[in-house]
Amino acid sequence: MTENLRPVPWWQIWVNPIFLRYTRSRLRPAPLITWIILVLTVATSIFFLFYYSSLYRLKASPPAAARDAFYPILFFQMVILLFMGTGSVAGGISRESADGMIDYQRLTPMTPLAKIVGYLFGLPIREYVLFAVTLPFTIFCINEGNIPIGVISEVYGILLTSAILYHLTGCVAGTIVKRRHFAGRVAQIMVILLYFVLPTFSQLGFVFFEYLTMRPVIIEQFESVRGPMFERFPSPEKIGEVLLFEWKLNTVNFSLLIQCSLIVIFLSILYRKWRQPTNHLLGKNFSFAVHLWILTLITGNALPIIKDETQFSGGRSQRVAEILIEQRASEKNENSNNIDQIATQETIDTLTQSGILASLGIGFLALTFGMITITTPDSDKFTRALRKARKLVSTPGPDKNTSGNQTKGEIKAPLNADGATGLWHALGFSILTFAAWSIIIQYAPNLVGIDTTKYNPTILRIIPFGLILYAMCYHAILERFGKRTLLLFVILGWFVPLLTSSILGVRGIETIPVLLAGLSAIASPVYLLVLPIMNTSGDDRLMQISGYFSLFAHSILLIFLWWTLNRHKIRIQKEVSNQETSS
Amino acid sequence: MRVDYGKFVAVNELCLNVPRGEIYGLIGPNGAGKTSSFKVLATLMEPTYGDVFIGGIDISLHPEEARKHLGYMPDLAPIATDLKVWEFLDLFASAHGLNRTDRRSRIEECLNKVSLNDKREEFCKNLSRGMMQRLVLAKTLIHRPSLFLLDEPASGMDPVSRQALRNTVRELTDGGAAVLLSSHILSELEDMCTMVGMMSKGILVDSGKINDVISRRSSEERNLVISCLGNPMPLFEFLNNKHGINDIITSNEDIIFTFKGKDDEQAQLITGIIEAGFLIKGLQERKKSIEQILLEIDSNTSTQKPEQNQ
Repeated sequence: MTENLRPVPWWQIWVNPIFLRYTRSRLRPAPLITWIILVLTVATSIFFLFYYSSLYRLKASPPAAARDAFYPILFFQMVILLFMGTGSVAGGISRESADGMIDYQRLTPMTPLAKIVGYLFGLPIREYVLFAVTLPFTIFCINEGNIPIGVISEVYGILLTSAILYHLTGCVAGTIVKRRHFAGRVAQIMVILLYFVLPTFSQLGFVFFEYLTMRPVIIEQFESVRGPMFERFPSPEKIGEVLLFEWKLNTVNFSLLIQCSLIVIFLSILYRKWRQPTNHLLGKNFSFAVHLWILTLITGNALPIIKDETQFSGGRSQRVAEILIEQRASEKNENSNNIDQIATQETIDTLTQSGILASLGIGFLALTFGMITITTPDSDKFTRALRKARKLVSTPGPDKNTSGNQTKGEIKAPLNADGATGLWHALGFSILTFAAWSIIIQYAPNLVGIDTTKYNPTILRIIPFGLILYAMCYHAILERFGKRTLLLFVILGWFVPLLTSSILGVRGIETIPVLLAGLSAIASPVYLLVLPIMNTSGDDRLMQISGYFSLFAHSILLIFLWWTLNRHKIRIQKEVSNQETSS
Repeated sequence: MRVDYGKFVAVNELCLNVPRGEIYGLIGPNGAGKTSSFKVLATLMEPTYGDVFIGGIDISLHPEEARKHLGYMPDLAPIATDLKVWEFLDLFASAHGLNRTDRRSRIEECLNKVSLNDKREEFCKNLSRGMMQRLVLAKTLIHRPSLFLLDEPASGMDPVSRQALRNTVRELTDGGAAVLLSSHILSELEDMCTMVGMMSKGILVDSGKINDVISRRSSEERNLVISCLGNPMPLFEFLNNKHGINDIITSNEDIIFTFKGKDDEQAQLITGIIEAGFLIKGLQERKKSIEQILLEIDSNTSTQKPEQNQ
């Protein structure tokens, strides 16, 4: 009775059922016309406001006035595509999910990629049409303002990739967050974060966050397009070429590289979620590649910044260092004239560098925690994977080759299976993190000419091991006790000491806050960086004591966690074995 | 199969077989594990333990292949409210790979089966709950699967729609499909199903051909109705003291009670009544209904196996 039917390939978007479904529902004449009128009204107002202001009030020529109207229209197009479009995608996907419609789609024989493409381009179809409605204004600006076609292709090329990236963000948010209205908001908050919050991290060494947005490309092209109205404003500082290790990359190319990487990662998440909603966001091996790629980008971007003193001395980190020196001066009751002298002695660069090194360490650790959270199975998943592995071993056929590991008579899930233990991958993530931070720590002092005789070189080399220790504790708690216990541990074990220390510090209490904060893994990179300093005294000495104690305490904790985790796994294996024997 | 949610066992040792041409009714109170079972069978969830085969295909190893044979109608079946009736069906017809010409005829055919032809151009949001159920049934039929999983298909349907559903389901099994359905309307199931499985607290307590299950469950305890000539109270008092008689009530001239005992004991009881001089107009033995059996099973599992789900 069942027919052998062939579903549409993913690339035939014009016949993609999900795409067609949304072209029907989101492009119904009555609401569409209302939206078009609304968008035309706003676009016309924006265009004439800037065009006529430039033309009549600033007495600019028509080409210059047209250039003045170009960016405001572009900004409006960005609002339509990036903000409204992302909201539509996230809201639409989560509505399908909350209603249960997504289960129907899951059961159709369309490939996961065809389903993703259908939703990705179908849900924001109205926003694409509204974007198209504003294009005549852009065409007029380009034509009348003699804007070079190279500039247009770069700006709109990045707008297109940004739109796809942000819509995928919406898809991912909608797929993961079940409450539909909440998912729309989450996606829009994510867009705001991507645009306004994350770029500020670039000053702490995470340069590539800046390139998730269109901003670098717009800044790069701003001068060549602006008219007399925008000439009155100071020109934003050009970023120029992006440094990645020894290579110099064009801003557009680097933006494309970053955005396309993220697009691939998001596509992978959606693909996995479409195949099975209980799948992890990323596969274990793919997460490993993603972790390596992100660490490479951060390290590649950070090293040239540390190397280049002119870049290194600027930004927020330097300001933080200056504030620290001012605080130390005031604590020592020295007059303000001595601040410059102290600044010279301790060097602002040293503190700024420590700040960047510590922030990179914290960032790497956070990334490792994230990757471990994504790839570590809970007990249910571990049980299911074990069962499946046993089943594959006992089932003859082509799948047998991809079956579980069979060692010493024990059948285990394949290492890359979602339900397999996350231990080895957690160790892999940690080792990569260790390597990345090591590279930065080993290179940084020599690059900026710090007096390395102040450091114990052996301890300097081994301190990144600390990150492995904290990451493995995180993994072991997660795999053994689950997310809720982990959250409780992170709050009580890592956040509370840090917050208590801050409160006590503000009250003017000495010693205890310095010792207390060192217990937290979150502050660990700061404390680890102090360990190699020789002949310390005062706060630095206390930080060393606290740092060593934290490492010792976490080592003991890890041994206990591994012991209990091992027992837990053996118990599950026995349970599975008994269950199968009885059935 | 077994389905665990953390430490909670939602479905425990469920073992059933639905042959082609059969309508299998899975019944049980809320929380019995029906919907979890359906979700596993529909490949939307993996069982913690156990194997599920659809047409010989292991669904945990080849879910995509198994889905081609499946037609799934979930409980409170959702619909796309922003689409018209034909657009909704067209979406799934094209998603299953039907070409344009086939789609048109298939949509007509399915709309005919569920009597929604006149609502073709209507928006889904304007349909009544019963019509929505029928529309989702039409969607389930569109790719002509060989196994239908219908979770509460009759909920919200009026009697006419239920009759249509019954006919449609019978047509499907006549055509060689297997149907597994669940319903709270047990009388409906009794009329429609050829096989039945009774679940309680995640356990399949009884399963088989519907008449076999009823006979099996009625063999030791049956309902008897005795119609008296005149006042039934003396007979009521007489029976009330007899061993094996429970739940005795009077209704007009009738006395209704459950008798627990073997056939010869029942014969002795009737002989005793006549010999005692009571004037009997009629005697009727009623088999238990599915509903009564289910209630009994549920109360038994509640008292006997409270630890099963721990």
